[in-house]
Amino acid sequence: MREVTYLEAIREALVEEMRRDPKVFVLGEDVGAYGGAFGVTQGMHDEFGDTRVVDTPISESAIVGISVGAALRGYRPVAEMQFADFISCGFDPTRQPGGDVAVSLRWPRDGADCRPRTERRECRRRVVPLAESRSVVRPPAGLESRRAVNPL
Amino acid sequence: MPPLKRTKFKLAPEQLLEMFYWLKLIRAFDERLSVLVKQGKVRSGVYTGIGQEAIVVGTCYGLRKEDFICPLHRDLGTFLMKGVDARAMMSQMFAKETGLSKGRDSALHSGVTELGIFGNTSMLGANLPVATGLALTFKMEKVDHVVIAYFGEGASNVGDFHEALNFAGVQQLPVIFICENNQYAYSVPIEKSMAIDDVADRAHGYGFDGVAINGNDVLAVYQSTVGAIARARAGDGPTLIECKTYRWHGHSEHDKAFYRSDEELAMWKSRDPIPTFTTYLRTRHVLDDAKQKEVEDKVKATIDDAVEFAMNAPDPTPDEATTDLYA
Repeated sequence: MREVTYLEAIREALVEEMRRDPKVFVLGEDVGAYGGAFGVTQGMHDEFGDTRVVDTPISESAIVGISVGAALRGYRPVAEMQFADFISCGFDPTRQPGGDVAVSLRWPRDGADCRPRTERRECRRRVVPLAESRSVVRPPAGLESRRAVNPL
Repeated sequence: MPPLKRTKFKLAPEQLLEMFYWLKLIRAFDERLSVLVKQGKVRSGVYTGIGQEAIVVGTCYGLRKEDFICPLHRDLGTFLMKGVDARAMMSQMFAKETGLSKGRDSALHSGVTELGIFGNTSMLGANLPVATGLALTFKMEKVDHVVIAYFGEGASNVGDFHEALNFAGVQQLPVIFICENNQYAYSVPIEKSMAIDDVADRAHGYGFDGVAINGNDVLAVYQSTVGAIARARAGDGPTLIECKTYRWHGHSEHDKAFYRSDEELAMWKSRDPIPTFTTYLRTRHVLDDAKQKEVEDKVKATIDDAVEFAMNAPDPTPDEATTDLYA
């Protein structure tokens, strides 16, 4: 079995999906030329450019709301919340009555940063389902991560 | 940033009469709902836009089918102008099977994606990032469709408003932000919620133009909107149009609105958008007694028919309770 890290698995899946389906795009803070705070989107900006690897301002609520808007028109946005702590800033838009829109929100799992600190390593997976009608997938290993990128 | 130019426009007499019809229909729809809710016949909370109709008509009249709108809880008229049938709209307020949400909801939270209508949430301002996302897809596809995003002056104090305008400015998106400044956020007057006079000024902080206009003048609203639409279609980015207006009723029909004076209400009623436009049409001989009666009869027939239809429409049945539910 091939060994890959979480990051590599997610990146491979994103790239595969974006090559396969022009409606898939990623957006978030620092996901562009920089390649993401954890490096998930490294190299993707080179291949897909500004319009499909969209750097956003520090605006979590807008990131989620924009994703809902794009999904309403048949797009498959994959939005990155840079740290798990930030996801609650984007809660309101997850309650939008957008019908059966497909938005994937992706955030680093608790413990992504193993240094002893109180910030940026919070566990939010139990909180998110409180936003109604949403599934949370927490992949246990690298290749599972890859399958989980586009669960919808 | 070049100053906004005055947009030239020409409307044929038939188009002006059509605008007149919409103003009358939307007013009549809200007035009827206001009566029906007091009779306990409407299940929805009713948030009328009586007094604000010129904004709806002026902003929607220049739209294409492909354009999107993200209306407010007070903008029932935008649904009608974007193509929702009066019967379906009335059924929605009665929470009947024939309504937009098949009786699952009884307010304006149900959008109609195929008609380009996004239903709003109760978190005011939260529709603005969604509008921005819709506009982003138009830019991605290099098509010249636009999005009209409505919000109240109260929602311009919400973080989402600022996040959406900032992103739309950065990306030069084809979105027109329409502020319906009706002076009160529920009971809180504008002077207690912001330290500036014009919401329009906020646009400048995000790199695009904002204008404050008379929201009770349907042609002024139309003129500003078609100008903004033309710029958006040409790839010149967003515009904010602040329409100064006033809601005659309370925030909702259960609100007695004791927080404002009779004199203030009377002053704004004297600026009723409908008589103003009626006089305009009459002095230009577009409208006469016969034509006005024709419009009024058509409006009454449409509303009567919609109410009759909704009253007799079936309720959703219990065995459908889990239909369309995700989880």
